[in-house]
Amino acid sequence: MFLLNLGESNFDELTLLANQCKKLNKKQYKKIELFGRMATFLITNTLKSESEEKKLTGNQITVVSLFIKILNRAESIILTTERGIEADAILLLRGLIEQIIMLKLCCDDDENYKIYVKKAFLAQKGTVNELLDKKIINIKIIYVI
Amino acid sequence: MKFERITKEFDINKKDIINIEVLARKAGLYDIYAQHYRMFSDEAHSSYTTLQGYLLIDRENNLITGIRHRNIDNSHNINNTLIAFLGKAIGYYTMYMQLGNIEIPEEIEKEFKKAWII
Repeated sequence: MFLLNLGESNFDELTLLANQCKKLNKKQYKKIELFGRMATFLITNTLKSESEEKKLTGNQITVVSLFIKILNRAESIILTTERGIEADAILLLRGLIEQIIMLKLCCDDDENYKIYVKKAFLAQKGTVNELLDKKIINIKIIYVI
Repeated sequence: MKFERITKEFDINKKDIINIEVLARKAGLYDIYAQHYRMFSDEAHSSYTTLQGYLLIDRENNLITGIRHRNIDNSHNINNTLIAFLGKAIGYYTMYMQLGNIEIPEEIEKEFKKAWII
């Protein structure tokens, strides 16, 4: 169910975006269109393969969610470069590479998804602690989170 | 409550804060990360933004008469790096999912071999 909810996001938009962008070369356009088609095929197949009998493991779920995140980020990079906001596009690229490093780690070993969970959790906890120190939020709200 | 449950399940301590460089070394992608570090570092980023414009100065009267922006179009390089990394991500994903017995149709596989990804 978790993956089906993720699947509702439009990852097919990569090919649609490539059609609209004027700053892409013919080579770049062809490659991005191919990536979009390949990505949609891969994700639809993984969604099909998930059933009640054969449930995906924690590592597989993190790999799929990271892959969808990477695709969404790629869309945003194409849009920002199209609008001429290159400084922001470079910042987005930095995040994309960090996500690819995590993807490679998760692909290498089935236990590595725990690193991703730990990293995400500690980042979340760090922000909450900072907000508490600056007295922006109360302790009562933490229980809601 | 949610935090407590997760900390028990994954044994999370403050010592577990992991730097991205360490993770890159572990994944075997440190070379690529170091290659693009200049693009990501804050110093390079700030110098890049200052290079985009320069001041027009009237030296006799010590006055700034205007600011001119250079039209540097760097979108080509950004798109190329994006394509390279996106190809890698799709490559890793296909390799991982092939272990889960997902067959790729021949048409797409041929196109991928042409694009030097698989």
